[in-house]
Amino acid sequence: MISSRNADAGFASSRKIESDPASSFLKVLLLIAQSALIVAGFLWLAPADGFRNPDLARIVVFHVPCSIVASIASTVATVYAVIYLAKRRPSDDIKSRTAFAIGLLLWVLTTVTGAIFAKVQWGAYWNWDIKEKSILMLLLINIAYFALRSAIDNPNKQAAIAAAYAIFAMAAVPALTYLLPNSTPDTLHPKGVITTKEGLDAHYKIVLWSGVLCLTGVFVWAMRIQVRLEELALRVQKSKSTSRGAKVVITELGP
Amino acid sequence: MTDVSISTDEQKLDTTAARLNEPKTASWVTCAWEIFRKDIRVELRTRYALGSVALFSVTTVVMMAAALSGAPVKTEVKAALIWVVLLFAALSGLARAFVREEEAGTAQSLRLTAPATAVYAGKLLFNLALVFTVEAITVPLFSVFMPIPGVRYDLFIPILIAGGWGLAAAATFVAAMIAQTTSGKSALFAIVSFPVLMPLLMAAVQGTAGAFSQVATFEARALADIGQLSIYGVVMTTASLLLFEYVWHD
Amino acid sequence: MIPLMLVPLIVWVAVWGYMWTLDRKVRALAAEVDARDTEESDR
Repeated sequence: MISSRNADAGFASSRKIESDPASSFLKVLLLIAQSALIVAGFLWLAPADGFRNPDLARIVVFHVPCSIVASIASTVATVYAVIYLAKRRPSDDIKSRTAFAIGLLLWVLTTVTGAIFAKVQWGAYWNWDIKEKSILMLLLINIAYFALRSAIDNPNKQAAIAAAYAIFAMAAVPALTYLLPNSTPDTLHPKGVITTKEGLDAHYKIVLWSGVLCLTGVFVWAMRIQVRLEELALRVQKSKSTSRGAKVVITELGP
Repeated sequence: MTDVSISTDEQKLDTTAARLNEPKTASWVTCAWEIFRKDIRVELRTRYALGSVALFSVTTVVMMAAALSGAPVKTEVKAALIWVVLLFAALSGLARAFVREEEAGTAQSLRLTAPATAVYAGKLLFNLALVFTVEAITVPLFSVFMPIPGVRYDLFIPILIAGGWGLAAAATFVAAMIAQTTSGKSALFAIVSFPVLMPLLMAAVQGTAGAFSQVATFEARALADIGQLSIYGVVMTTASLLLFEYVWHD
Repeated sequence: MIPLMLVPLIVWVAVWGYMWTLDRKVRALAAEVDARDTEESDR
């Protein structure tokens, strides 16, 4: 017994951590790129003309990428919810749940940066613009998703009901964003600002869209870490329940 | 002899196959209708949901009117208030359709005997009846305690119908989900259903404000809101029918 | 501008460092679980 225990310890410490040079390079690149973008956002970009506080208006190059990647996260989460209901693999539920969690964080960041910008530009933190309404709805749906999950014990039921709610709630979101705007126009979020020539200054567009790329990288990386961790936990749980229990030690009883 | 027996077996298979291929719709509709009828019968006997919903409605309207008696209230605010009361009053009773089944233990037998979508349809019909009853109690009360001059009922009533349908459709689906949670059902019902009901609430309040406003442009906009509410109702009912079996069956 | 810029910059580097460390730890954990699994099967 003693010798095998030593072998245990020896095994774990001598095994090399699986490190993939390509992914490490990408992660370091992400660090440099995003840092460069932050510096550029403050030092390279000119203060925005036409805004009430030209200096603080820079926050728009963070607010917009946040909202775009948050939408991506919510979409990914809903897609995995659909896949889970079709295939019923626990790993799909883990991916859906993780994407919702990261999405919630990103939506909160979007709302906070948007509120700061709104206060500086228009004097009020909240204005009930149609996009603001939809973000509020998305925030509430994300929170309700986790509230619902925490109230169901059986893991299979939890996953199935959560996935069904996610799809159901996401079906209601376009109702707000596409039906209602006919009556309450997009006053604070004019169309085409970030894509057309007449919109934001070219330098702003570069920083903004590069920001979208970097933030997407952060999202993908965070997903992979969290999903890997949860799948490990699932594996360990499964092996514990299927292991042969206490190892029987056969002691020789000498004559 | 052998030939005759084989053909008899074939005949038996044919009739069985014929029975299996019979249109299922007739029995589906019967199923849903039976569930609805049973729920109505039980409800009329105990008057539990009806009582609590009616009482909630009366109390809330009276309290609101008392609180606002001194101050002049704009019609847009009254439009919002009436929908807040409708929403909360309805939510206090809409979960019963499923929670009662789970608590009484009858849910399992329902799962085994009826197709999932028929269960949803039956419960939806019951909840529709409940919502329309709430509206029938709340709206007259409102006009007594917080009167609004010149209401365009030809706009207001379609809003109540379309909005009521969307409310019942979404709430029935959510009720089925939270009936299977272990605790905190009423709070969870509100938390989970409100985000989904936001588009409904906004369209309904805007349309109602238009019906109350006596201004031509707002009244015209109320027609668009009726359309939006109907679309919402259709989308929610369809989504519920498609997703219900994942919520209902294991 | 520079002091205002340092805030998100430091936050970002800290977040990145946290993710990097977490990544390493999860990979190590995965290796350990794999090792334990092969030991189980070897036994």
